[in-house]
Amino acid sequence: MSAEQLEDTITRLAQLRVGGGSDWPALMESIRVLTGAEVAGEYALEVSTKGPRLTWVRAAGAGLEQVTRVTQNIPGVNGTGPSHLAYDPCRIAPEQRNAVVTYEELQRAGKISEAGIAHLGQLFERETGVWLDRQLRVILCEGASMLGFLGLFRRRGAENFGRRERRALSRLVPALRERHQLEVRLSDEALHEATLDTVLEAMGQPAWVVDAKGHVLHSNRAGKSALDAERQETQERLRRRGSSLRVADLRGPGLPAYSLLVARGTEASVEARLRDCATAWNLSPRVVEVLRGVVRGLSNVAIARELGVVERTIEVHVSTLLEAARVENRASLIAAVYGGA
Amino acid sequence: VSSGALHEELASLDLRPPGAWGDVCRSLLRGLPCAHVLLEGSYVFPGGASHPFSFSAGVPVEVVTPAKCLALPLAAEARFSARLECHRGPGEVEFGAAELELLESLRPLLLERARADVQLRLVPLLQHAIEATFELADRPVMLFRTGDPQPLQLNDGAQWLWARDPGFQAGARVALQGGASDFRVLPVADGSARVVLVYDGDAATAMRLARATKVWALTPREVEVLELVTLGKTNADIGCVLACAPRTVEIHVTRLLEKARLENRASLVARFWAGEFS
Repeated sequence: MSAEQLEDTITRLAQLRVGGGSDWPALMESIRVLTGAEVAGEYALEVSTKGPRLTWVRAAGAGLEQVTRVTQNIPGVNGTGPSHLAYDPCRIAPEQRNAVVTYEELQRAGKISEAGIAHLGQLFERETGVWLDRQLRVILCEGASMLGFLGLFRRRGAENFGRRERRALSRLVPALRERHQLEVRLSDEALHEATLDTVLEAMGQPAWVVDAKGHVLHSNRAGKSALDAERQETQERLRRRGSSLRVADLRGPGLPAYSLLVARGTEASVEARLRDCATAWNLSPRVVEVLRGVVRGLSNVAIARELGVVERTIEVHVSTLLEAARVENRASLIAAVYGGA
Repeated sequence: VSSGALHEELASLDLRPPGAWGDVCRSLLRGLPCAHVLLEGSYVFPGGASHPFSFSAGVPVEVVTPAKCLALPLAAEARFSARLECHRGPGEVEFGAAELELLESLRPLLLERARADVQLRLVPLLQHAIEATFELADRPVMLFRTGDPQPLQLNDGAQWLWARDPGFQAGARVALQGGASDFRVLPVADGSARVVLVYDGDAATAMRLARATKVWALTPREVEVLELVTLGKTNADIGCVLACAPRTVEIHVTRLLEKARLENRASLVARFWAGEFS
């Protein structure tokens, strides 16, 4: 292994074609040779309701076919028995993220047992004819999410992976990660679309993702039924973006402007609460108007100005309200209207 | 530049915007070679919004004759449509069949790039939309991966309760295992084994406190004071509850009003209950 070979591999990683499946085998092979491994293999897992499932495998050294079979049969993958993965595919522990480790280290950390290593070795032997029980591996991660697993294997009795191989693999990690991230991004669109639709459904109010012209890209069920019931009115409302909508602008590099619009529930509910209070506290229409000012946080002077009366009149009304709500002060009155006291 | 080398060069160019197509134009300019390479077209995003783009390399040729113009229309699933044109100037020879063939042979590579380009632009938008939806939700919302008890993403209200209320965490775990609780379980429909949990229990106060804390950048002590102020407690009451002098409470309230940029206690309480934080 030379420094040039390592640099060359890093450069090639950075220049891999997107979705260029054909370039990977050669690259895996050079990683295998670079680290003096018998087998080099990569795979990714997807966590599903039935446990982790294999999404892809690529390998060099023992024939792609066989390694795929081995990986599929690793206990803990594809619903096959207790986990021998030595990591939690749902959430990679911080110390395992992008860290280069050997079987021995995993064993010392209590992540895998002697029997587990033997079991995997046997599995390899059955499928490939080689008992592999020397491993150097790294779990490529983005945050706690697993992007992929890269393992280098040597046969039983061979020299263990040393500092040089470990350094080489560590040097490859950033480029490998970046590559995997890009691939994940490219395959993530469907996932994000589905997630967005579900999250929109969680909103209490009608919600829409629209472009600058008001075209609807996504909406939740409440948003859809608003469109179905009153298409023109709703579209007009989405175009005008009045105060009945809360707006969050969405921007991506090189993208037209999109926005998330959510119908505002608060105003309706304030009015509903004022009506409830009017009934419960037996308030005159005039006093309700004063109360509306109070819950908006207006001072007596401001309310008097709005209603065209003198401040003293408002003071009297507020006293009536405090008595009716059986509270001591204005803040408690506001809380009482919202049911918070 | 040989055809193979040009293929290799194009394949190795970084995909990520911005500037990716500019590099493609420059490679073609050198590889053909020619005087001017122009890629004009538009992305058509979901909803029909189109976003025009124009990339070029070299110097525009004043009069372009058909024999000195190579054109390649490119369209990827109605999301990307463009026209690539390569022009040669007065001093250069006319294009021949070889160049036309070369350009045509590059089409798959260019289309692959176009598809990736559209996705690389859309995914951040979708991520952003998911985040914004979390932010604007009026109740606690969390995103989980199946089998993972730790949420992948939470909104402010959920974060607030998750950190403070063991009952909230316990309820979420029960819901994830299919038990009855105050949570609605919404599976993400693409089979990716993600689940959205929506808390339908009473979280109005938690949502408001979480928002206020974030928007007004409050300290933990200020949050405690705010919660009591909004219940209509006087400074003396609050001093009793928090075991400090009314004068100290007054300082906290003054600081709260400054941070919220409000004039008085009543407007603070009103804003809080109306859920208007800005």
